[in-house]
Amino acid sequence: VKKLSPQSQSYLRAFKGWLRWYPAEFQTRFGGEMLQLLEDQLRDAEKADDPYAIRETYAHAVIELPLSIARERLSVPLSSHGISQWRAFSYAYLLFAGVAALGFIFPDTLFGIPVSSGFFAAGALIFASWKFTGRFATSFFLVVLGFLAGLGTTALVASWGLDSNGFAYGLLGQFLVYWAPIIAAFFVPYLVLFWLKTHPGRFGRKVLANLSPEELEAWTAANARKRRIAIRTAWAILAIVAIPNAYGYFNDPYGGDVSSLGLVVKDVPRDQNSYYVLESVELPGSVVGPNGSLVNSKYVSGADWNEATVSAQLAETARQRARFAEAAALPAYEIPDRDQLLNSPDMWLTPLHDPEPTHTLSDLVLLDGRRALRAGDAAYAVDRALEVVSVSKAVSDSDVFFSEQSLPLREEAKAFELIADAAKAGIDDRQKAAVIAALPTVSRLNEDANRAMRWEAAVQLSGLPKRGFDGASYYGYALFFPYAYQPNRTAGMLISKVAADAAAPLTCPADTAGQYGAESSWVSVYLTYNGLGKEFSTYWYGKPSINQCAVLAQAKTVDELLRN
Amino acid sequence: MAQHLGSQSFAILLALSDGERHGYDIMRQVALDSDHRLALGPATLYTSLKRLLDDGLLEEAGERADEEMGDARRKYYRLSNVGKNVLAEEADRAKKFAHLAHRRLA
Repeated sequence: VKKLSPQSQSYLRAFKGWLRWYPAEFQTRFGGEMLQLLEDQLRDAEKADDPYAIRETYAHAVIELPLSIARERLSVPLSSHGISQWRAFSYAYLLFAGVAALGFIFPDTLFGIPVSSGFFAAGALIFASWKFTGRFATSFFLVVLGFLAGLGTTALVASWGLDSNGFAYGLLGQFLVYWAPIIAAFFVPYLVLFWLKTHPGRFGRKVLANLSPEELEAWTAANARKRRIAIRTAWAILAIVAIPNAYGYFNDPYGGDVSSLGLVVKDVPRDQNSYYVLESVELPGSVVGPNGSLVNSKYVSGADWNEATVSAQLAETARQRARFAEAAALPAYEIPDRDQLLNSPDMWLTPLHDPEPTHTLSDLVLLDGRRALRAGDAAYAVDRALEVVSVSKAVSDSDVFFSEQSLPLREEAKAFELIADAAKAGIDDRQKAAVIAALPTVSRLNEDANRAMRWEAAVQLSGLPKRGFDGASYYGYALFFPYAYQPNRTAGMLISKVAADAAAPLTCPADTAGQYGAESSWVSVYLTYNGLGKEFSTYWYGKPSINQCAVLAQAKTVDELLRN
Repeated sequence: MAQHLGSQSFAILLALSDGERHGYDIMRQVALDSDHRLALGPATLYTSLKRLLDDGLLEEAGERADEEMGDARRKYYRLSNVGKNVLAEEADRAKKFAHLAHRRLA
């Protein structure tokens, strides 16, 4: 018999590798025959004139493998307890895998489903599989894979990405720090059940163990290796999680005397371990924070800090603390995040190391602007707001917040709120131009919501009354409820579209005026207008609506404003 | 038999209806019988063979070399008595359906 060509031999070796994915029993029984069969096929293919025959033969053999392997893996062996087959498992796995896959494909809309179904399915299937078959290694790993697929969807949701020690940059880091403990937890029921199975007491024998003593002994011996692997894997995962966390704790840069970017702060308690260590960042303009770390200076890097600047910062800190005390006495509605300001002074120590402190600092700047506006200085208020817009843009672009880019946007939204309010009091053309120039500056996550806020600011600038639509409410929901992101995005899309359409002649049939009652929302008005064929339920905010014509009129004004 | 055979299982039983064959031989015979419309790969073939063996429709018929294909020893399979009956039943059923179809189309 002619020896196979090197190409065929390599295919044969690869196929042999694939065969290892079959259950051991199947491999032993048919592996050799399958290999022999493919060898026969390849030998015949080599005799054919077709230059692609060998590849086609191999491809055909390999394409069939995944389904065949899955089928063999998922088929439950005969049980000695009258349950000959438990096909429901197979379907449950497939269903679960399907949902998880959908979660990957449509993370926005199906987020959460794979995760929650993963928890329930994993628990139920692992237990049931073990209970009825005495085997659950395969089911265990399948479920974990499905679960991981579900978790993959969370990577796309910004607010889930906070890390703890600065180690979790990137998806792998997030995975290790946040999800590995959960995955490791899956080993716990496995090990517990294994123990119960191998040490059947009265309860275990009666309720849990299905096997006779002889079967039990055989099962234990057969699964000893799996148990060892599970234990070692669990330890490895826990170690992977524990080591960086332990390192982060014992090297906590915020315990004791903290020096970050050259600014030394004394006696910081070692109780917060959730900050970044910032090495350098560039921020144009000036931002005043409670510890004065960004006062009137360009923030370049730690190397530029010296004792004089630190002293100046500390002096500014004292001044800002005094201002904060004053601010705290103001009515709550004037402080966007009053509770945060009041209850988390420790965060001040870490300006720009964490999104929340940045947020706090921005709030203070905006607070300053609001105070000025109340005193009648609209121009100053706009300047302060523009400062926040500028810094938000810089922070967004600096990649400091790898996962919370939406926070700077939220700050910017608040800044535009202030601008809008200031515009009512009247601002000059120079500032108006500056505001309009700032409108398209920020674009990251929630871009559409941000656009919505810009739209609102522009409406305010144009002098039209603010009606119906509160851009800020979108921010809150977009940040914390991923499900709300879709209407958020839809709103932004529609606003953009209307702004573009506004250049066309405006027609406003008389019969549409007042068509929508006080209960309908702005978004539903628009969806209807754009002929998308569906009403959108926006029950979580009950703003009174405006009618189509008013919206169009506003959009047209916005468009003119932006173009001019 | 409560559960009817699938087309692949039927084709395999049919291929073995005239005697013992080894895996590759079964595969080739199935292709011939189906005018090359049914092409089984190793994975599909042996998954089906396993099921048919477990269900008692096939039997192993020992190992020996195929003279045409060299010295390697190959495992042969043959229909069991149950398998023959099931194949006959399936053939009858198919025949009835075919007859019915022709009659209605006529």
